[in-house]
Amino acid sequence: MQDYTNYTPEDFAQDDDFIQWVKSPEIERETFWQNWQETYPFKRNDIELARQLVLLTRHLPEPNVSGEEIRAMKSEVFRKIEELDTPEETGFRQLPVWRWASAAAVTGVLLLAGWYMFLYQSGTSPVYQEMVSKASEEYKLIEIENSDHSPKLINLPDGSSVLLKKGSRLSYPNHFKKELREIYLTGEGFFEVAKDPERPFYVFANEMVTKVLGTSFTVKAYSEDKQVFVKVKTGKVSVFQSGTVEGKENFNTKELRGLVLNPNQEATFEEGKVVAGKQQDKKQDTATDPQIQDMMFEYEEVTVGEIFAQLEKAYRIRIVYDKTVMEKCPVTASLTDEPLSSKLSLICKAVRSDYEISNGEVIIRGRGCD
Amino acid sequence: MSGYRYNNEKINDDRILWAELIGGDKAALGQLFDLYVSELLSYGYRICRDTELAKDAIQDVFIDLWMYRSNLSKDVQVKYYLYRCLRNALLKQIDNAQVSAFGIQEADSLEDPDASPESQWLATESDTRRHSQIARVLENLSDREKEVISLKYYSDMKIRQIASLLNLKEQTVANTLQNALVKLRKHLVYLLVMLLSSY
Repeated sequence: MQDYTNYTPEDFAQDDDFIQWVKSPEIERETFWQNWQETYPFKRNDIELARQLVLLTRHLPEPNVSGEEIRAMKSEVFRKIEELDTPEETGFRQLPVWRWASAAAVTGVLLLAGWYMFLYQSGTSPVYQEMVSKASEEYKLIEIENSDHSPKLINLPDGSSVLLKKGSRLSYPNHFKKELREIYLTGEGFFEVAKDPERPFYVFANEMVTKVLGTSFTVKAYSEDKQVFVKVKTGKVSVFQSGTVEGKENFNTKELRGLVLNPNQEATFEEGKVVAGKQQDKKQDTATDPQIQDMMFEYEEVTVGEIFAQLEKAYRIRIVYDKTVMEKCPVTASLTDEPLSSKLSLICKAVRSDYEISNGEVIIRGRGCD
Repeated sequence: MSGYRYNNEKINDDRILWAELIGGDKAALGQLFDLYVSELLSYGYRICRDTELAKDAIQDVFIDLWMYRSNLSKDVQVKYYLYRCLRNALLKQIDNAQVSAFGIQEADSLEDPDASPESQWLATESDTRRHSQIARVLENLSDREKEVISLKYYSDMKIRQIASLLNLKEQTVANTLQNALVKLRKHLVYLLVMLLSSY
């Protein structure tokens, strides 16, 4: 042991053993320092001063950062990494994941969220090229083309998701503006738009604009027939012609103007006009696989394993999780048209786990459900 | 006020995580983040007094760790290395913004001009007030002294590590620490007298 008899208060305050004793006294150190003070009572004052000096350092300034902010920082790190690792695709903004006590609570929240839509168009239309080159003056655009057979999942920077059909292309900015979200499509896509009424979401396809405040819908805009088709699955969207004065007004308002479509309604843009009603069904997919736009995501006491299996099919994505601990966890939830990110974060809340999207795979981490 | 941490197992853990990170394991990066984010936030905040700046710099540090993982040395003291990266990142930014910081200049701009011990302690009315006044005692230290105190008592670093982090000689760090403690003791004696006389 150190000879402490000549120590000043400052010396004590710099001694590691002494510091440890002050910060977290364990039995051994406590005994030592108590005995030491018994043996050298004239040092008691110095010891007390030194103790106060060490304690004073607890009052160093601390930043005020919540656990939620820290989680958001972490998500942002992983989002950027994803973006840098695969330069042509942006990553995914993971919503903050809170721990939820019960699956029942989830249901209530889910009903508040969501809409969706879909949209089509094929080949690369000249209108698309023109729009993209104009937009790239303003934004750094990311363009994704799906040359695979099966639909490709794209996670947009705002958390919205798009299932892009074969042969279709989508362009979107790497960061959306504060006041609006704009994307450009040629071909066909099914959109699940993250709800953000302050930031309307616009899909430009041929000469038609679909405006959404958060919804799910399909847009079909194949270039050769100059026709654009929109069908709403949930929520509400408005459609109008781009480039006209009226169109500009519709664009700038926070409300939905133009032709407003409700769930299961559809509209076609043809020969300069937006027409409500059924499309001529020539481009309908003949695939027998269930399509996401026809799927329901209602679960009552359904196991996580089944839910993940359905999501894997709907979004053509692999979900990796520890089957032995999680597969059988039951979940009751009513998911509809929130983007994949929201669906995952809600399910994860129910089974107290976290998720991450990495290299086109969803990785779930959790300890199961007791 | 966050407490002190003493996680010796951390040191063993973080070497394993570090090796996994170099091997390309993204989960290891996440775990290192979880392990160190709060102390890095405290340290970063104390350097620049700007929470947002500190948060951004920490994110950049972890992004760079991943992007340049193949160039990382296997044999580092992880905590020290992270502090060093954060410090460099912040100093670069602060240099650009010309903000005063720990270590860059011995700024006394943070000192209250009439923060004599008397004026500080005379009005010790309530605990909260006393609490904030204790915090103000620390403001009597220079930026460098504060940084050394923070690294020694909050981050549990050795003089040798502090010296190398701040690019100073060990003797300089030891002197700085000694001077800081002498200063604090003067305020402390005053504080104790005030406390005793108020009962």
